[in-house]
Amino acid sequence: MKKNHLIILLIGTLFLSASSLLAENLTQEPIRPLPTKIVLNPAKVELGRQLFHDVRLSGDDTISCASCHSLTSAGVDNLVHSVGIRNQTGAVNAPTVFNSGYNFRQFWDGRAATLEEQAAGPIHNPIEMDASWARVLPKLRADADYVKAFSAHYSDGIQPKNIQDAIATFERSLITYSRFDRYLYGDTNAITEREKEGYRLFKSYGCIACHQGINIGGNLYQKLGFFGDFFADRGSITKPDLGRYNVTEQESDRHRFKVPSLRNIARTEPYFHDGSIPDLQTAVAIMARYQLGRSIPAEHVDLIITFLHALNGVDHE
Amino acid sequence: MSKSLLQRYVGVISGLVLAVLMTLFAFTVSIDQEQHKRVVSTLHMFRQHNADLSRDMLLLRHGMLTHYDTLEATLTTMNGYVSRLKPDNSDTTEYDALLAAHKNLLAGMVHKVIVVDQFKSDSALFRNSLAYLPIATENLINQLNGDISYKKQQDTHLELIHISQKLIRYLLVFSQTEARHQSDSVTQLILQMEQHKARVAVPIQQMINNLMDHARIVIQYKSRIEGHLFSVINSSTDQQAANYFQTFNTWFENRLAWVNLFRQLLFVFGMMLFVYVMVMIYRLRRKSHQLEQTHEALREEMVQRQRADDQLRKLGLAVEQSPVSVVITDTMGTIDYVNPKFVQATGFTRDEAIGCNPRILKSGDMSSHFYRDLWDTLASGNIWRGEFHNRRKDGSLYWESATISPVKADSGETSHYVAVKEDITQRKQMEAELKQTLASLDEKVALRTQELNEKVAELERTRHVLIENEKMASLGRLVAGFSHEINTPIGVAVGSASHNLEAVQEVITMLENDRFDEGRFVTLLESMDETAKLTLANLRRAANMVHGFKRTSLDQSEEKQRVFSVRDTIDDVIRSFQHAFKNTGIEIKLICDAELRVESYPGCLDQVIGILLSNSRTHAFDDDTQAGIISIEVTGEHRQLSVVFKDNGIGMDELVLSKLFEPFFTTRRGAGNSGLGLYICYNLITSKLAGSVTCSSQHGQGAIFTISFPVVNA
Repeated sequence: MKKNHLIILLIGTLFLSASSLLAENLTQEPIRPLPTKIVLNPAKVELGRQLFHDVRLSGDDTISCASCHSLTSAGVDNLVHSVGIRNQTGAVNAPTVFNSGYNFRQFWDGRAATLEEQAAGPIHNPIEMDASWARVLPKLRADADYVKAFSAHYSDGIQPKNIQDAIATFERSLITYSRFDRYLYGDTNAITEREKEGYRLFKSYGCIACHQGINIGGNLYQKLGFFGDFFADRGSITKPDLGRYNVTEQESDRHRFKVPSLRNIARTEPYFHDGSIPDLQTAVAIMARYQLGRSIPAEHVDLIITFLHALNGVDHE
Repeated sequence: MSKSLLQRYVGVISGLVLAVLMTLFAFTVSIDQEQHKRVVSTLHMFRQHNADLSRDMLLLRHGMLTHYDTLEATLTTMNGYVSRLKPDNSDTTEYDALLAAHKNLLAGMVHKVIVVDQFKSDSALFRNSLAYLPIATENLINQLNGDISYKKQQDTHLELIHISQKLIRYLLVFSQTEARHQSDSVTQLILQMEQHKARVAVPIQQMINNLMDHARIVIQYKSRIEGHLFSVINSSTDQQAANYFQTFNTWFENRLAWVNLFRQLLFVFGMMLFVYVMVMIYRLRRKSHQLEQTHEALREEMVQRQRADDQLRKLGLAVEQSPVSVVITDTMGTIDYVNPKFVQATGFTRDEAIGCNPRILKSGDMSSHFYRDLWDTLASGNIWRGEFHNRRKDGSLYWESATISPVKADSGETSHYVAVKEDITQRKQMEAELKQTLASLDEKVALRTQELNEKVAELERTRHVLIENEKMASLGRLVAGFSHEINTPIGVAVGSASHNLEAVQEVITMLENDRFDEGRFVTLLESMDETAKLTLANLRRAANMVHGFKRTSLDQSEEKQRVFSVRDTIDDVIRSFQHAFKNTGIEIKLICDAELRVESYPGCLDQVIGILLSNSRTHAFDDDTQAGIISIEVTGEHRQLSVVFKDNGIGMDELVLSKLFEPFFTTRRGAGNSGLGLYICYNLITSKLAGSVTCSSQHGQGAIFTISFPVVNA
């Protein structure tokens, strides 16, 4: 009940800020700033933080959520593919946990509708944490502090849905304000002239068509390789490369991925779902080539990258 | 029986009615107006958001909204509403319809999400191409203009510039309008461009290709986007929501109708229950009144029963503790009850006795006739009384007196016999012993009577002897007293005479000797005169004494009745005792009419008074110094002389008084008293005088002797 209440509140907050912005920025900026205030239960956030860092969620007590989504490195591990328990290597690049609450779906293929749903994924993935609730619950229930903390906020104590709720609540608290947010709130000096120029190019080159909204992406699917065949050019197509097709099995969803957020993009290399692109220059160029159907001059690419740096969180660890 | 059955039915029915009421009430409250409001408002909000979604898509389509956040937020909210609309109670028939309606709604939402996802994706591409087309066209025209120096292709370049300018113009119009024919024109232009493309330089060809790609995207994606847009706008979501509402409303109204029905039923049942309760209360009050009466009667009965119980217990105790044996038998003579006394008397225990016939006690001594008589008496309803000679358990025999009575039931029939029996063995023995004792007693009495007679005779003889003896003793005492009394005057007379003689002889001598002395002679003469007088006086006194004594002795002995003066007689006696009282303070008073003369035995009276005076001197006034009065009061009336002799001496106690007149009784045996004085006195009065004498006295109060005897008045 409380959870629902909070979610409704949160959605309400989003909606209100969205409508207020709608009135103000209807024909103005396609990128929207993070809200100045979010309402979350601090105790649940704290409990989620503990769980997020708790290796007991993994099969052999070696991996926690934070192992791949390190809060000290922009919510990612900066590896091409993350390493699960027993040094197993995953198939996709770990997206950042920061601002993930503003993604309309979770995972590259959007197979999880919510953060709660997402949290259970890696726990059960045999190459990630390789655990199950049946194995995790006894470990957590043996911990008196957890028992106390859970029973304080959940009537039924330590349960999978409550663990997911706590972790998701914590993750929703992981938002990174950038200088660009301040700019969007009216502080015209928050970003440099070059960054402003980069933003203008970002819009004019059409990047803004997909990377818009509060999370600068993360709110739609798009086919990777619209102008030209990205995967044919790259070669050796893997199952994850099929993208949303793996979820819907609709031909139109082949190679279709969730458009990632560009917040903290300068810190979350390597890029794309396969982690195949190590630098932003290449990533921007590939995007222009395969997604926009045009080429962007190098100096414009640099300006755009300059702008992208303005999207880094400034006040988070 | 049928009434209690009816009551049980009533109970069951009221239970059922209650259950029905509870169920009805539960149904009544189950209607959830809040739920209805919530569903209606949720549906309203859902439809509102659905409209918002269409509006935002239109805005996006025309570039007036540049991000998809609001679309996503709207969809998320709508999904939330749909999940909240999921019907939760599966107990109604309308549930399935409602669930189907919800499923439709859900499916519509899933479809809408997919369409919106595609719309976003396509819209991004369309907008990108649309935004890029003017730039690409401008780039192409610039390129073509730069290459205009190539004269040989000048016409082609100009044509291409013209086509591309036309194309961009058509595309921009096309993208913003619904004009279908524009699409054909654009396609036409693209075809023309394709024809001219081969004649220009390769870089320009690439630019043309790029331009044409984006142009095709605009044409193609415009219709796609509009397809998505119309799909969403025309989607049946609204209709589905309306259906859902209608279904819900039908369901709700059905519920409402049911609830109203339930309410009416509830009211009816409530009224029925109320009436039933009222009837029950009325009946209860009547019952309670009856119950009160019954209770009162019961209490009365209980008190009586208690009383009867008490009575019975008392009777039981009386029988149990009775000192006589009690046996109760039935009419066949079988023992029902025996009391402890029976057990004690017969030696049979109660358990042994009960169930047996009383003939276990038969000694065999009684005749069969005896028993027949017994049973005949009882059978006729009468009481039988008699004695049994019975045998105890240990074989010893005993007698008992029995009363056997029939006990009659209310009907008058004999139901039991009660025998009350008393052990009379001892009485029988005592009777026998008594008979024996009486026989021997008769013999003894005869013997004793004979002995007694002999003793009486002997006693009589002894008495005579004693009387004689006493007479002699009295005489002795008289003689002794008399001698003593007369001795003094005689002695004085002798002394005086001898003195006189001496005086005479002196005179004679003087005369003989002639020495007559006149003086001496006169003295002697005077002395002789004196002595002569003295002698005379004493001799007279002696003569009086002799006279008295003579009278006394005369009276005592062969005395004959004669007339005498009572006073003189008693005076004489008193005088004869003067010497005895001479030196005492005792005064003797005689109250007697001097004229009183009677015919009787004066000697006897003399003797009696003398004995009494002597006793008074000796016993009543034993202390000589004590003053006292003895009074003798004599009255004579009606031929009866009464003498009351009183003293105020020490008196006598009861013991002495009782034995006063017995012979030989004396309190002073050691002082020489014989104890015969009063005995003689008594005999004289009772025998000779034929009178009576009584004495009354108390210790310290003196004594009163009352004597009376018949006389012949003179």
